[in-house]
Amino acid sequence: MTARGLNYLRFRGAVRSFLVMLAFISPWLIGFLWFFVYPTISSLYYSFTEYNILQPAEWVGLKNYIDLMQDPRFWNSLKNTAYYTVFSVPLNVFVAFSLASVLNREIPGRAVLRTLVYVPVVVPITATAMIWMWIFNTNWGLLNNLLALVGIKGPAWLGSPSWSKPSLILMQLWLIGGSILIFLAALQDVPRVLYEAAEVDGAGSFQKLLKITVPMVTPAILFTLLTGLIGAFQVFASAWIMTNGGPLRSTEFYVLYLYNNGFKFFRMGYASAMAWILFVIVLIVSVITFRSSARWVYYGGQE
Amino acid sequence: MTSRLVSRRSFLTGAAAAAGGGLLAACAPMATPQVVRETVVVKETVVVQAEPTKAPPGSISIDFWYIWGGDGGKAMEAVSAEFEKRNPEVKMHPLTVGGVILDKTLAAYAAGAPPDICDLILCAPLAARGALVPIDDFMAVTTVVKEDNYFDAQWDGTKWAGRRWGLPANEGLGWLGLFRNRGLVREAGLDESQLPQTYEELRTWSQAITKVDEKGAIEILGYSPAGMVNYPDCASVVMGVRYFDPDALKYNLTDERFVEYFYKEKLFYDDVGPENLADFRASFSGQAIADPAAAGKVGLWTTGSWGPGYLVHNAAEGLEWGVSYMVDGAGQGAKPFFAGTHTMMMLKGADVEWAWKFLEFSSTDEYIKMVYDISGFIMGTKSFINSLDASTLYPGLEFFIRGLSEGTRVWGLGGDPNWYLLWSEFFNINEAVGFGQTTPEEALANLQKMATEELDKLIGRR
Repeated sequence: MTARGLNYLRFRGAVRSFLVMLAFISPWLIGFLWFFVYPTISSLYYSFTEYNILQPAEWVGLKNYIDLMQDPRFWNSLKNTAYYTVFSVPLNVFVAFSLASVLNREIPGRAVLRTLVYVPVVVPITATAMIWMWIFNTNWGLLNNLLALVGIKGPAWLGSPSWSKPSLILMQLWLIGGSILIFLAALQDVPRVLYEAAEVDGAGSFQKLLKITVPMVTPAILFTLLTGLIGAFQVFASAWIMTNGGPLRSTEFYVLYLYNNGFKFFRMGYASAMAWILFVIVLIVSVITFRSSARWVYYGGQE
Repeated sequence: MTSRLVSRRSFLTGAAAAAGGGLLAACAPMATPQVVRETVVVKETVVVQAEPTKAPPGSISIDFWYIWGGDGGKAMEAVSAEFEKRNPEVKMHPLTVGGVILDKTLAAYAAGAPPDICDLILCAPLAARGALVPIDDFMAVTTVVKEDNYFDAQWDGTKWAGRRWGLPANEGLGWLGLFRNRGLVREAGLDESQLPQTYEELRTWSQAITKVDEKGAIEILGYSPAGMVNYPDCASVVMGVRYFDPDALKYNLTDERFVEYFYKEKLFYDDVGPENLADFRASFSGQAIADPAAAGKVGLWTTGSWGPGYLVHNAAEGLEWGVSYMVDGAGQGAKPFFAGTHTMMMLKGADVEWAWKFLEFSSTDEYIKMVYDISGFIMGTKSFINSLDASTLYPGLEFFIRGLSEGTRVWGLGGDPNWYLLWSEFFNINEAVGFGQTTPEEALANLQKMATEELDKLIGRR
């Protein structure tokens, strides 16, 4: 056989293999293209249009983006979301890491406790929200009754514009089971020999935590921070169910306002523009976080 | 004879290809009729048939979406089953959609699979965007629907651009009554034969009923300023000025009477403190009786014709209540009443003629009686109201029956295509003004601008 013929056969084999590969991944690929890529591109197009879902979209250029800059409800929702993100994400990381540290020790009932912290994650958000509405009840709720035992009159958690966001941030702690698992895995991966060496050098518990544990789990911290940031910017269900954005729009988060524009106020073009602004914000925050990670995240394979 | 074995590799390849093909097929648009979009000026002529064509049993499929679950949902299922019994060729698909009915309908419409019949609050938002079929041509030939069997105000919610787009159905009795807790009123030494007629009198009553503890926390609230009166249409009828003119296509939100309305409502926040009021309301969330009025902790509040039935089933034991006209904010001594309506509307589904036939059925006393027997909802047709024995009704419900004919200012939904936006904003303005975050003048000017811009977009004026 000539070299040319051989090349042709090789090429045909490669094409065939590629087609077989495509056939095997086609269920995922088609779903990805149809349910992710197509809606993503469509939303970009709609963000430049006047589109109310029921009638054909009309091109309006940058009008939606310009209108958004002048919309006080847009800025209010952005402010609410920023507040929620700034406080909830570090708090979640800190509490998840602390609990994981406790659960990493030899304590009685450790296996049961590890299971229990993950249980809330598998409970549907609607049920979780209903439970927390009861816990936050001003007069008869669990939280205010516990506070009353130590002589503190609890606030109107969900009823007060000042307390509504902190309440939802507090509730979010209920759902950190996933982060705890990640930290647990990371903590168990820290070589014992480092602690032994530190003990030989006379390091105390706090020093071991600060100089060994925290640096060694920084990749896990980066991961939970990033996923937490992305999740926090998209907070929706808890506010939708528990407060519907109130009181005084203090819990009208970005995605809740986006949803209302798209599906209640017939402004899908406007909502699409909001979605792309959110995408850019999340992208910028993620890039900054990634860039900064070079300074504080330690990977074992590094020099 | 040669046999050909299929290798595992070939089998898996074929299976993967089949799976991919199957998924592609599943993603293909449904075989529903192409949705034809209209402009505001309706040019479409609907070909009306006196009788739908006969078809094999169960071959006509009608999707029917509505808000209600519970007894209301059961009533909708019952009337659907009855319609099937009468029309064997039809298979009804009733569905409780709940509070997200608009959201779901829009998504279904975008996907090209809207329901044939959808029970929303009013027609204008969808009619103005070309999603409905006008019923005028059907009305011209129908022998079932009797136009004068409805009160005029009930038709308002079905109108847009000079045409009608649905029938009032299921909950057409009334949205606005001033409820009073009779026990609290008596305890405050107030005379029930001299009910409040003006906002000033309402405030006097509220102050007499209100009780706060030494820390300022509300124990009993005199008047709740966040009831049905906060719907833009209800505020309109109370103040004697319509917020939207559907003929001139103009919003009238900066009218001084709306400014006055929000200032009047603010006084009730001032009396007890907005934070205390928010605290009071929030304290009932998640309770066995989640509504402070039903729990017997509110003296006066506004709600609709579903109120008496709701209280019978949910109120604290021993709660006695009465219902009267909301005060006349215009100071004209009028009895303001609102002919609220849920309106059945036809979307551009597959079988418009059969959908219309179901709508015709919804206008009959047999249908209305079935719904009433199961759910207690009263459709406000004159013939059905006349057939009711008032002594068997829930206490207070008779007020809503009389209100339609005895009210001296009886209005209906104003045919506003941006109604959902306005509804959301009105509630917020009430609260924001109550908390002193904004003034009615500023909030209403912003709302007027926003609503007008939305309307301009819709009718393409710019």
